[in-house]
Amino acid sequence: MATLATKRYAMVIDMRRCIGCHACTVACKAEMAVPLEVNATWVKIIEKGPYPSTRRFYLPRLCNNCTNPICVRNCPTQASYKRDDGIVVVDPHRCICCKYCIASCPYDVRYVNPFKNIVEKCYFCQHRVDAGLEPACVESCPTRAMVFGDRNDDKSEVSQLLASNATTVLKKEMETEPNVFYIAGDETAMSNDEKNINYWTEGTFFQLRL
Amino acid sequence: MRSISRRNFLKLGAAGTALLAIESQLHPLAQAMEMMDGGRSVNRVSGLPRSFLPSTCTQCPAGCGIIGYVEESKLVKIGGNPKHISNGSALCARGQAGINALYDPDRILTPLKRVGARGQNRWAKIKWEQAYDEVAKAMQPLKSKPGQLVYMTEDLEHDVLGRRLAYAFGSANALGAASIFGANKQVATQLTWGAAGDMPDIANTKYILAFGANPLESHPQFVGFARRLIDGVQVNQAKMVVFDVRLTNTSTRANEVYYINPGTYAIVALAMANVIMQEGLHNAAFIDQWTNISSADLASHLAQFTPEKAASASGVSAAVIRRVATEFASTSPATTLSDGMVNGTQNERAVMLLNIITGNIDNRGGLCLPREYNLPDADPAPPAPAPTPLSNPADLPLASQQSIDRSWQLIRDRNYQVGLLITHSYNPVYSNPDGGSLADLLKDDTIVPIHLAVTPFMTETAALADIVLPETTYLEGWDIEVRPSLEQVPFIALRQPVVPPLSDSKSFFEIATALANSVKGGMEQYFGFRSVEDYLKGRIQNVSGLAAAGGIDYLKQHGVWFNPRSKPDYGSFNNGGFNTPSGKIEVFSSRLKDKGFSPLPVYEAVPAFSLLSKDELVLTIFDTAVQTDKTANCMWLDEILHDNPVWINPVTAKQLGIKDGDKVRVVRTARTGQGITPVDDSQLNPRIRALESTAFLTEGIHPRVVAMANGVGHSGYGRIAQGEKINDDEVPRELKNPNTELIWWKEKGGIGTNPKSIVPVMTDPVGGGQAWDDIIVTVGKIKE
Repeated sequence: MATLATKRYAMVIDMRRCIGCHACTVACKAEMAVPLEVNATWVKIIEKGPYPSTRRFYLPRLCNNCTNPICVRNCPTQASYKRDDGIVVVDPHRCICCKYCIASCPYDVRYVNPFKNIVEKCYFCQHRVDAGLEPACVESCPTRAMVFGDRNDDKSEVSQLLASNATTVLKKEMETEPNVFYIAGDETAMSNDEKNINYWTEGTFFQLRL
Repeated sequence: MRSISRRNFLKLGAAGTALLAIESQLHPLAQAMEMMDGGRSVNRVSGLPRSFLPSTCTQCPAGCGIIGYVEESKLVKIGGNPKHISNGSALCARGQAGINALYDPDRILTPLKRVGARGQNRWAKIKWEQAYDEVAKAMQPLKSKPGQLVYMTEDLEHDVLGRRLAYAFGSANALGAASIFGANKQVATQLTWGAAGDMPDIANTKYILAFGANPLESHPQFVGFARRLIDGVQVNQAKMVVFDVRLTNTSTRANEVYYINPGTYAIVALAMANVIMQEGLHNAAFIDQWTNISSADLASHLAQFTPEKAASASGVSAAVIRRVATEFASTSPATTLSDGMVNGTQNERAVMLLNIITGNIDNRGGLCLPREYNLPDADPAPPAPAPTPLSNPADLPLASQQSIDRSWQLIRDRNYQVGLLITHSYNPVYSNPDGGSLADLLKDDTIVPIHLAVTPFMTETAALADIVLPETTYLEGWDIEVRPSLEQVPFIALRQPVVPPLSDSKSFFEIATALANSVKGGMEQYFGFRSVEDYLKGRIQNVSGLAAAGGIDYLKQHGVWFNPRSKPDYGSFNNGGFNTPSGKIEVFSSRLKDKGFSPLPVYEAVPAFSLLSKDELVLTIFDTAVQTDKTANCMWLDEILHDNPVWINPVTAKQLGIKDGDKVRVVRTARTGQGITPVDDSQLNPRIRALESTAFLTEGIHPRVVAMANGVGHSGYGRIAQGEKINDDEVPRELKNPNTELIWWKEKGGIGTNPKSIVPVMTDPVGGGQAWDDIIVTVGKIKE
């Protein structure tokens, strides 16, 4: 499919617009039938700074669908593979749940589906994208903080956002070349630097920090 | 519908600004969007499109447009309705999790009759016919004293059918619980500009001044308002300044955040108004033409509120008050945001005054009048019965005003005899202040001889009923849904079943019709509709333009309608003035004066706040974007927010010897409510004065304030709301979901505590609304 091959999907998350509401978290649960206990999309929250100049920052998290995915390289059965358009997927029929991919992912975005005993992750909602729809999290976002599209199309909203804004990715030093870009992502939230923060949580508001 | 194409519509939604704007005004990036933003869904495996129906969400009061996506008659996904004027394709966590409520394994699917004492939670399943007969038998003896039928519902404004049922029986006691959900703003605005509520034109403003308002977590139009607020701040470059007692999600998007002493918003607002008048930054022409007070008189009234005085009360410096006041008055357009607080009505009027004196009233980017279709009930509508002390308390300034807590008080003190209590979608034992003593009251059959609960779920309140009728969830029922428009163009939406009623549950229309026809005695004449659609047609028949568009059929297909020729009619008061006795904005309110309240906006200090001892703190209860009072049976939401530890500033915690994660006891002190409404603690059960929780240390809170999130800590409402794992084998076929076996949060964190359980009734004397943020407590570590 020539049209597919010319696409290069990416997501831009504009942290100036994110309000930490978790609509994306639930959109993903519903769309991908993600079981309880695991998440393919969630919102990390950190707080830093002393009273009264305290700040709180959010960071929606999902698979970066990397251009250079370590998980794909390390999958012994080729269950994990990269589509021509850049989306990294897991073939449920080939997955033997060895969890090498989970161990090798620098972003902790893969999980074992307890009902199916296979590894799953965010696929940028490939089934929706193939039908011309935006990923579920993007569609649901109340403030349109999340934008999805084709980097190879100069006119696409993601291309224009990437061209006109400074963006960052998670763990650039890993050279995985993530395809999820953050505008105005807080440095501390993105770096996992726990020394400079008051608290952080992932997935739930308060529990996981303890 | 209108000439605007679907694609253009989507672009408009993406820009998030004016739905009715012309294309050249669009955010340029939105025009390049290549993918379809909502309105369709496909099967994850087959890629085949899913069938769908538009409807309206009622997980919170916002009434967002939704689309239910269905496969093999099972609801598989809920998304936003791109055609909806308020939220478009976006939908919050709660709305998307509504599917959990529909398939709650503990949903009630057959009528239940109590066996044993009230509250023992022992039930016999009965047939609908028997249930109707029993209720009719309870109602018939009340025919000669119809006021003994007391109907209580969470949201009376959106429960027209419930009001019809009470009125048809001859009882004026159709009581809504608005007073616990922000009535003070409604009363303040009604008194001031003759319309209940407001709608800041937030996407088009240049300056936002928020007093205790947190719309990015909680707003009557949450999704649509949040999108437009972010557009206002990011696209329109509006400056936002927030005054609050804790760091809210709204604060995170603000340019400036000030922690303010509890209960002092009004004096800061009034001091700002004073600065604006003194500096001559006010809009004298607007004040003189459109308010009932002269600039000079207003200036002299405000002179007492000096920035220095406000600074000493609020903790916000006089310099900040002066600067922000000057910025607000010199930036146009500008708007305030405010939210319920102690002495709420006067506070709301104080904040509203800032818009009034700067002429930011019903203008583009200012504080706009609420634009909403006011739809009468369908003909033949039952006449309003004679008012009762419950339906129209005599001491409140507006004739139409209610206050559910005052109603409960009258009932508890045996000053009003109830014959039959009907609670519909209303869970006061959880939601009201002092819910614990309401539970005691509901167990007493001399006070409440018969209690009928109409609800899909076994709430804490339904558990104290004699008969429970299993209404469908909102996703299987019908209604006409109207809300104030964020685009300043009124709209009408439909709630229709996205799936048929599960099992033996019935829509409220069916239940009300069957009850009326069982009771008879004349009330059946108001329930003679051939179908629910027939009834709803009666509600919308007089809406100009809707019939031509296709009427109810149009709504069934699209979910929402607005007049395509409508444009935002900013400045609508120019044609005929304001809907007040004087036709002007009543800065000076004779109706307040007549009832013995201050006719001009004033600051009423809470005496107790200035007397706090070293270990007394003020407890505030906040809403989040994840839960409401009635969403805790949604596991996707509980997984995100299931606990609500007590927020404490580390400095305060250190003084109290409390460390992060410590078990703490929060005890309401006798000083709570002093100067507001007398509270006689000695008469109260100790268990409703104290709660246990854990400490959560955060720099994001005023050192004299502690805070807890609302929406968790249920002691009823089914097993999911209480964090219990469920054995899926025992669940009825249509409600099965293996995920309920994975519920983990009770073991790993807890299910929280209902902070409202220790809140006494503290109603604003003017608005009748409850004060939730002003409870004086001590917090101490529980020694283990």
